[in-house]
Amino acid sequence: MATDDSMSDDVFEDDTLRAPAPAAHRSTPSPTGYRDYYPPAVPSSRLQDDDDIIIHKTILLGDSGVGKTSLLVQFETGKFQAGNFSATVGIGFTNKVVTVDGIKVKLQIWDTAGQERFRSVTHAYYRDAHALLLLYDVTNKISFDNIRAWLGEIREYAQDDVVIMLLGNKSDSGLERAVRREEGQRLAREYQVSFMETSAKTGLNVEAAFAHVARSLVAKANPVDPSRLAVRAQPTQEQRSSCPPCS
Amino acid sequence: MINSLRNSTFYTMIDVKAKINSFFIFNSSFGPREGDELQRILFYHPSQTSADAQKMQVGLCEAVVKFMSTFSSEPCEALQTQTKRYIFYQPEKGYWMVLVVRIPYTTKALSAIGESRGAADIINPSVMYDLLKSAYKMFRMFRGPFKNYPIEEIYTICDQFYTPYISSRNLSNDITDVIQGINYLPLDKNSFFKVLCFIDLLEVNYPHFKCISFIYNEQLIWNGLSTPDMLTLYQYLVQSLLPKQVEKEIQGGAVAAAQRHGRFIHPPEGIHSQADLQKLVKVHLMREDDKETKQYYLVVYRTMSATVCFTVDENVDLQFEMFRSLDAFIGPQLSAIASTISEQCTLHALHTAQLAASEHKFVYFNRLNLAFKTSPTLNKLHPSTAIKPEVLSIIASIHSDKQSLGNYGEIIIKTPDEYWITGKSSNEREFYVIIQEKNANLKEIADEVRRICEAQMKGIFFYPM
Amino acid sequence: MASTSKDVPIVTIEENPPDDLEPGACYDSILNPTDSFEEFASEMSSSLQERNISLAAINSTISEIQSEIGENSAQIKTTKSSDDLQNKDESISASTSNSNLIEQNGDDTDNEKDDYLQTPELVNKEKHVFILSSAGKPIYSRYGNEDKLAGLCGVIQALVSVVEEQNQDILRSITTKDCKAVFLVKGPLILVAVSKSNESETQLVLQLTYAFNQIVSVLTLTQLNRIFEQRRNYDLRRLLSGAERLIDHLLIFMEKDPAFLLGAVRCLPLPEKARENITSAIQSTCNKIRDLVFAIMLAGNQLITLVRMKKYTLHPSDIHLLFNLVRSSESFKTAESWTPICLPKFDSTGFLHGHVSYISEDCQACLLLLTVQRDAFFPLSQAKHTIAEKLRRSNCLVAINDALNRNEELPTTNPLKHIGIPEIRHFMYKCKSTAQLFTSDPISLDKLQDYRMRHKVGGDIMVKKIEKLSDIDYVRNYRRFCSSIHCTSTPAKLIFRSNSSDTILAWVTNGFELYVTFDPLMEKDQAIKAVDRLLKWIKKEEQRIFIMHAPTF
Repeated sequence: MATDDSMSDDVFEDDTLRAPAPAAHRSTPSPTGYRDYYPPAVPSSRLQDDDDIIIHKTILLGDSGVGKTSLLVQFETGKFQAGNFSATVGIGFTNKVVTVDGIKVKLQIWDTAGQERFRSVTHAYYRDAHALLLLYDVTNKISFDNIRAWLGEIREYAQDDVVIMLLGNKSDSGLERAVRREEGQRLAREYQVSFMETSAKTGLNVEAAFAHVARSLVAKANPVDPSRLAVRAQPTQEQRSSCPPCS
Repeated sequence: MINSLRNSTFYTMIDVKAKINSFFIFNSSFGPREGDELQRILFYHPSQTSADAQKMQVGLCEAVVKFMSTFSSEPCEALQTQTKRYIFYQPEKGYWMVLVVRIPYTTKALSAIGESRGAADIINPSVMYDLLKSAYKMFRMFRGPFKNYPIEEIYTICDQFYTPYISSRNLSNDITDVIQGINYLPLDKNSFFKVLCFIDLLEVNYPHFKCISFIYNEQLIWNGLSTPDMLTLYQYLVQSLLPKQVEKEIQGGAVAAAQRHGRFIHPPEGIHSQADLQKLVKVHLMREDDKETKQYYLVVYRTMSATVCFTVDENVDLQFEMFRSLDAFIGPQLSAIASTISEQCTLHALHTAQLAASEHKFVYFNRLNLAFKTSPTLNKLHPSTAIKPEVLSIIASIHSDKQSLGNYGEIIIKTPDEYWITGKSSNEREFYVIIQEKNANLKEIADEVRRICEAQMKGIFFYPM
Repeated sequence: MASTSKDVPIVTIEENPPDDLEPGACYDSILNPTDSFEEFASEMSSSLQERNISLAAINSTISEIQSEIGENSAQIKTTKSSDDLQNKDESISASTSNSNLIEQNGDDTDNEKDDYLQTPELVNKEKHVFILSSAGKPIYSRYGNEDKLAGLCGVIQALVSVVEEQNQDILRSITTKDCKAVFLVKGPLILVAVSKSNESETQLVLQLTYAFNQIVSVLTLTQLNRIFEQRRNYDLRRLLSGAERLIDHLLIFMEKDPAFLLGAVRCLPLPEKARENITSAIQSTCNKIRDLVFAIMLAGNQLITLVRMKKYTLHPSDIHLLFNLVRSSESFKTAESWTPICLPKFDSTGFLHGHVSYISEDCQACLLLLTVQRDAFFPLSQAKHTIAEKLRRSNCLVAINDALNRNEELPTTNPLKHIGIPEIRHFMYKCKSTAQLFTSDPISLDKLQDYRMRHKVGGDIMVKKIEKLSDIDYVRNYRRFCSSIHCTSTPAKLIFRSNSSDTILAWVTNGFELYVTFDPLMEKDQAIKAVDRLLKWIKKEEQRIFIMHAPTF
């Protein structure tokens, strides 16, 4: 019954988004603001390969236990590590290149610890972020209620034009669900952010969420057609009708 | 000579006693309501302690007992704070006896100026526990179990018993406190046979009187009690009754010495008339052939250095004539036996004195019959040759940890000041040797211990050698 | 080997070995040589007043380093204050961790407490550990749910404060025949262990101290103290969420690994050349990064190398906390991480910032780069990739993997077989001057892993018939010897104990501590010969099994 959720009705239609080629963005200052730091003269091979691609700093946020790391692992490896609850310590860093509409976008993904005590560490990273993935757990009402506080923090620490996407994770949970999809959608609308429900377990919408972020970033960097972008910025409204009666 | 004996024990005794902070007995069910806390305290030493302080100490102990009961089905045994150690003993359900001693501790401030106090001041917890246990068993022997007394009487009974008990109890913190055993007197077959014949003859002629122990000086020759009671009676005689008698005899001087005939020393004033029989004390004991503890009259008779204890059934109609006749019967016979034993002892003493000079210290203990034997140098007469407290503490911990050695085992421990302590266990028998030797190795120590063992413990087999 | 030991007179066990330095010793150490029991001694010897003073006066090593590398004081200030928790943060997750904790009331919940303690979750456990605030609020319980233990915590708090306030004394321990409860008051926290194991009071206090240090490691002592100064009734679980796991793991780790028992660090045995290459790869890559204080490489709870800023050494207990952090954080495996870490012995007042990552997917060695600079992620990340590349090129990764996989051909994999002393069943050796440890049979990670998977429900006392002792069982047997050797009032230099199940020798000299298990009823001269051969072998292999240099940047 909960398999309804695995229907691909949440996945974006590829052809709705077609962003122009990225502009050269090489002169970005040191993203962490480290004093006296210059990019290494001889970059390691790993960085070298992707040298011509723009880097977009993306941060995963949300209460502890909502599945930020699982989502990232699913995105990177296509696997879900069951029962392996292990909280992130501080901030985890990975690079991932996604291709949207034939354009390579490099996401520099920061996976943050949800615990309160790491808050001061993570704040320092908001400022340079280009995109924020804000997660809650659909089986945990408190994590959803805390989203407003998270958004408040984002407003305070992040840049104004940061791309924000709200994700209701663990959408495979069926009967344990405590937050209806509509509630998520309503909140996203209220704050004018994109929304999706994901499952790090089944992989549902995981690729799609990152792809959407990548597209938004590309589009933001090349505001060729602002009217088109405006429509795409709120994809959830387009999908509402196909929402399965899961809650 | 005698004075030096008394002085030396006196000093060590003070040393330990000064560390005893308090001793108390409580039962929480005696004052269940708030405000009745004082009723829970059956006895408190020192008695001048304020009521509030008493309540506080007992309250803490109650809380501690309750706390531990949530984790363990075993009763609470000890509470340790920075400055004190509390040892608990629950001899009967709900009745707790607690002994509190101060323990030395070095503060950072003290250690900064190079001052530290070592083990010299430490009383091993197992020694404290044994103290409590013998304090209870002594009460039980003379008064019976706590639970026999109604609440109105218990406070007085405890006070009557424990106040004098505490003031008379000597603690020397030497090996006899660490390993509580009985000093047996080894006799040649002939002499031992004489003792047995004497006891048999006596019991045949006076069927009401049952001989329960025969002691020469402080050494046991014959016993007719169950093992646990044997130790309690032995301790009563050796630690309390006999020292007082010896003191009397010394004060009596030549008069007593000339009095070769014996006398009743329990009751202490002797039995000179029918009225004196009222002073006979009842004891709760289990004789060898008894199935349970029964009440008996305790009678003790002494001639020279020989002491004989009898029990008389509590239902026997006591007549002064019985005692006078007994006195006439025992007196001459016991004198003769005492002389024989005395000769043997002199021979034996000469023999051991020769050995002593070259030997290291050793201790032997048999858990089955509580036989306890030490090397001749371990003598209270020479405090300087007493075992160092640190070494004593190590022996105490080996002795209290039976499991470590198992049925057959051996442990050799070397301390930083070049003491080698060897402990051997074999079939409930324990043997300890203390050697101070700077340039020895494990093998040499083991060989030396084997030599001592063979020389001193003929016929007792310790494995591994 | 065998023939030489015949010619040379047998080393009597009372003398130091023939060489100038005992096996594993070197003149310069990366670690503070320690005696794990000294800490206990100082802990136990502090009076009430001293305890309060000691918490107040702490110097910050981190600020010292910052000022040395030329940070001006203003920057230090901002750095420090932004490390602090800001009060406005509280709003965000107040509800998250908002415990439905009823205001704790010891008396009212007394009965509930007793009942809960008898439930299968809690009853019959070998060792409980409870951590509470000095106001009696539960913070951590190894088993069960802290909320339901509010009553018990109230009782503990009452016991501690009665002894302190009414008796002007400090509660240390309570014992029954089969159970010990040990109490430790540290700063604003009360830590209690209730154990039915054979660990001594000293060893339990040491474990509680570690648990406390683990908390300090995630919060800093300064922050911990300030929180409770401001709000005595604070529910610390809010700030510790996610760190319970670290304490869980640490407790298991301490029960299994003799490194804690001996206050020493275990090194991964490596060929001398390989370790040199690894060290120089780190040195050459990092010597330009001036904020870097320590570069530590470890694998499987064993140290591979440690490069440090001149003047600063690490305390083994800080390294143990790092081992524990790495061991219990799966997330380090999925991504390069950047995290604040407080090393309580190094500087309990502030955070170091750590770049933590595994060297590569095909080598489970983990590299920690610790700096005083809070945003040095990218240069350190770059350095890490450079180091990894260098290690790969110089075949060091293969050497590490060989050691980790316990390649049969390595002499250190099965030393007893290699030396040929079958009468020795197990040994552990600590070189005191360098605080390093080597055992015949390293605690295998799998065993820890298995235990971890079930410990929340497990940890029960089991009466099992042991057929073959595992390495962990040997270490358990050494505990008692360890505490006799280190006993403050009556220490021992040598213990030889033989019974029908085994023979154990514990021997401490100025330079080392050695614990050996032989066959039962072992002859002394045979034991002496075997130990002699063992020490010679350790000396011969010392370059491989110990870190003999103390490299700096």
